[in-house]
Amino acid sequence: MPPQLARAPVTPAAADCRLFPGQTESTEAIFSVGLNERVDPIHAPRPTNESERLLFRQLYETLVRVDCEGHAVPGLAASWRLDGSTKTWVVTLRPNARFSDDTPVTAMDVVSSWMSPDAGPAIGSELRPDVRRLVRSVIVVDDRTLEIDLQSRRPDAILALGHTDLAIATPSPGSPWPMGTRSARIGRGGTSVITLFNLSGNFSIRFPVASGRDSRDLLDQGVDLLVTRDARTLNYASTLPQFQTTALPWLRTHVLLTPNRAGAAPSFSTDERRALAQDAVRGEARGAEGPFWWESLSDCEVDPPQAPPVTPSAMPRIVYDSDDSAARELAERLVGIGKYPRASGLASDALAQALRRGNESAYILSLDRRPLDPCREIDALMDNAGWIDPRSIVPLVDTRPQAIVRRGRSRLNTEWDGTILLELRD
Amino acid sequence: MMLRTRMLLAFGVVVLVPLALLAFGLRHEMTRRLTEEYKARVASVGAVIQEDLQHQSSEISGRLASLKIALMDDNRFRAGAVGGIELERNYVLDYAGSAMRLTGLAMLQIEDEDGRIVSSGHFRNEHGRIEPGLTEALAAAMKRGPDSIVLMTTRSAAGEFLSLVRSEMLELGGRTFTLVGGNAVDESTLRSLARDHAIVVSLVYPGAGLSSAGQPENAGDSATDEFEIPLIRSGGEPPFEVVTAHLSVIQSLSPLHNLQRSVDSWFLWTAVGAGIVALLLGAWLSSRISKPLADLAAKTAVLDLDRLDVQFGGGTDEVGSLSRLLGDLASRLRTSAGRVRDAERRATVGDISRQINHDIKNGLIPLRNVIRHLEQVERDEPTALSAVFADRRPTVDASITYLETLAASYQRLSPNRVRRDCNVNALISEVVRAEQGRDRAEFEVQLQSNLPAVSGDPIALRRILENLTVNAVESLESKPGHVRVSSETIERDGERRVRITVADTGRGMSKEETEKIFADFYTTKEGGTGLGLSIVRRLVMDLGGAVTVESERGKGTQIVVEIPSVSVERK
Repeated sequence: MPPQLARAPVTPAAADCRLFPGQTESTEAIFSVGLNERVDPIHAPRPTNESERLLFRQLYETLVRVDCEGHAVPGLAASWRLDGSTKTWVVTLRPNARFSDDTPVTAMDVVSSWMSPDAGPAIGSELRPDVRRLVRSVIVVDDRTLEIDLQSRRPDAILALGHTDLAIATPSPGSPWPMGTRSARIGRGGTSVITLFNLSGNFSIRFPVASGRDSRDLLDQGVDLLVTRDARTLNYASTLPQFQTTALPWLRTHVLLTPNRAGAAPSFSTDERRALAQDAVRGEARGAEGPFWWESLSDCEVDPPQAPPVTPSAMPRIVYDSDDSAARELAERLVGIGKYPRASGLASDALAQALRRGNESAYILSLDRRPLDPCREIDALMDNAGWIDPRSIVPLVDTRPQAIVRRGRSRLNTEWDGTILLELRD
Repeated sequence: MMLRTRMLLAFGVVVLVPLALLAFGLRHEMTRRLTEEYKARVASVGAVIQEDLQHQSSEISGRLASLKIALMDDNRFRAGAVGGIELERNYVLDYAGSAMRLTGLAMLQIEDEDGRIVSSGHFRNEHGRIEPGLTEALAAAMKRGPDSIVLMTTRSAAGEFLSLVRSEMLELGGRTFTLVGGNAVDESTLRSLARDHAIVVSLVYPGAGLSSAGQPENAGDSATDEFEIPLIRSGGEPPFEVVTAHLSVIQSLSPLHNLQRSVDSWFLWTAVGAGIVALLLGAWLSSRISKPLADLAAKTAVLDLDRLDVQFGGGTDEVGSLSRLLGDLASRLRTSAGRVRDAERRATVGDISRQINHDIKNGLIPLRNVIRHLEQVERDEPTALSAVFADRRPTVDASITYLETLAASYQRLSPNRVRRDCNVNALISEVVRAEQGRDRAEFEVQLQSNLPAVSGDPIALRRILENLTVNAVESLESKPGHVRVSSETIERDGERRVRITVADTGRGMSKEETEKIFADFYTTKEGGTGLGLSIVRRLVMDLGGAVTVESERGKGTQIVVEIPSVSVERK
């Protein structure tokens, strides 16, 4: 059984989410984390790829965190409760919450962080679209208290406050990096190596970026942590005695989407999914295992799917994100076994447009396997392609990354979304 | 057709026809030679392409042979592919991809004796697919292509592509594996084979084709060389079918056509330029020839017995000779006309003598009869002589008057050779003043100031004017009317003349009367002698001039006298 979200924990849990529990930590003052993808401060605090997710997690917080077992634990908020008479969550910030420039974090700062950059201080009506997928409205009660009405009415709705779209940050004058509420700041430097310092200045984390290069180079450069799905890098790490490797949770499920134009989408048995995982995908994969979140959307207000375009593309093909190697390999395998005549990789924007048109024969997408708010996920998916019927999503394989960690570096914690949170040694 | 037109046409033909023949000949010869060169070049390129493909095929074969040796030594592949060791499965699946990159091939697949793809480099996830018959199709294609050039449509996830392939077989653990590898053949490959942008290499096979120019070239207007290559087409039924691909080397003739158009353009502009020059030259030459002839024709047209004073120019060419001949002819005519006029004058004198004789007799006969009557009365009845004389006296007076009139008239026929400068305007004024008030004529005088003098007898000139004005007044027949007398200077045939015009609004004359008006003793007036205008004509001719008349019955008469001015006379 895949891990399931814990149901509505309203008090901090104390799960042991360390990657290597029981190991002793070295006392090195510098920790090095390799990043495979490009990191752009303009995206902060909302990541667009796994490298940004890893880096931003060290800087920015959400009101609650979701630990590796799916429990809501304090983040920027110290406590929360559901108002008994309404469906509003009353959230209280931790008393010592401060931005990295030592200014206190107020409830208004939280609201400002969720609002459109050009919006005024009005409450509720000017929330960013991505925030509105999760939050209906928010009211500032006092400097430390907020009343938040969430979109989700599920019992575990509070977990939605851990979504990265709700991370809190404030602009930092003179720096491209907005300030976060963790006790860390970004040092000056280029984008090839980003350095993060704790506020005490006695510990730093270097983030060498290997975007477009072989990620094995990062291991040779002496990083302490590298999260990767690349089979060659994992093979290489297995030959290096100074590293140990551990698997992170199954985070993504690659699915097949077929516009319901003529006939049903092809189905895959458990054995066929397993064969796909073994023969097609080079990284770590397994046949997709349910249950899947899109199969239980009864608590969500899901619009009925629209009819896909009647006229299909002139060139029947299966399309995928050209940056997603697992998607490419799956698509090629489906062509190899004769399910589709050809496969084409599209850039992310082109794939989004192709999804919106819905005139391709089939699409391979990678979906979050463990979303904090399934209603938000299906809403975002169908908002881009209204023809998608959640019942026709065909799961193919699950994939997960692996963490390559230098031996002796054990103060690493995983969270529900697989992101590793480093202890900053304040 | 005018001489000038004929000359222009002749010049055009002389210039343009040879030019057209030259252009046509050059164009034809240039087209023939360049077409032959293009064909030879295309054939040469075709041969080179065949050699290139053979060379590539040999290289592919060499790489597959090396790969075969490496594969036979590879225990991991043996364990995965033959021994079925699951741990090495991914190694086998990825083997072809790694080997393909190492050997620089664009396609590589390893299949077993059943036609099952064990590992595929260009399409990694095609493994397990069973398509029997590739080995046999390769063998059949090799037989059809003696140069070991075999093409194959190759399947990939993104679609089909064409490749130049070879194969190699190996035995592993008692099983037979076939390595099929090759280089991609696409538009860039064809472009590299062509080497030259002017050469287009096209490859066409049933159902598809590609070209170095992007689109299969239409060989309609080009130099072409073509050869056949066996091609294994996959994906049909049976899985592999050997068809024939046609590789065409095409050299478009458009550069030649461009050259032809350029030559045509140059010829056109040259022809236009030459034609314009020829026409200008022809126009200049024809004007040089036709203008003197036209001048001669114009001078000859005015040549008349009364106008023999026309001057013909000279020259050294044929026209000049003709002009001189005409000048001589006019000169001889003038001499002859003078003689004719002398003869005419003499004849006229004879006629006048006879007329005088006749007229005098007519005047003397009554006198003689009266004298004889008086002699008879004196002899027979002397007392009645006085009465009879008185009775016959009117007859005597009438005869004497008649004779006096006759004498005065004949006196006017006498020539007068006195010549001096005469002021025509002064004479006109005197004559008009004398005639003014006579009958009911109203005179209108228009005299040009600074009128040049004429050379001649002023009495004769006065007589001319008197005759013309008297005739004009008398033509009014005592009715109210206008007489206009004018003088002016004119240029005629390069000489200056004084023109005197006397016009009236009198009764006028018919065409027949006008033609006789200058004849001696012809008169339309009662009591006229018929010598007036005859004398005028002679007097004018004596002055070297000419006289013309225009008249219309009922509307009047206009007589124009033109006399050379003094300056002309003295030249």
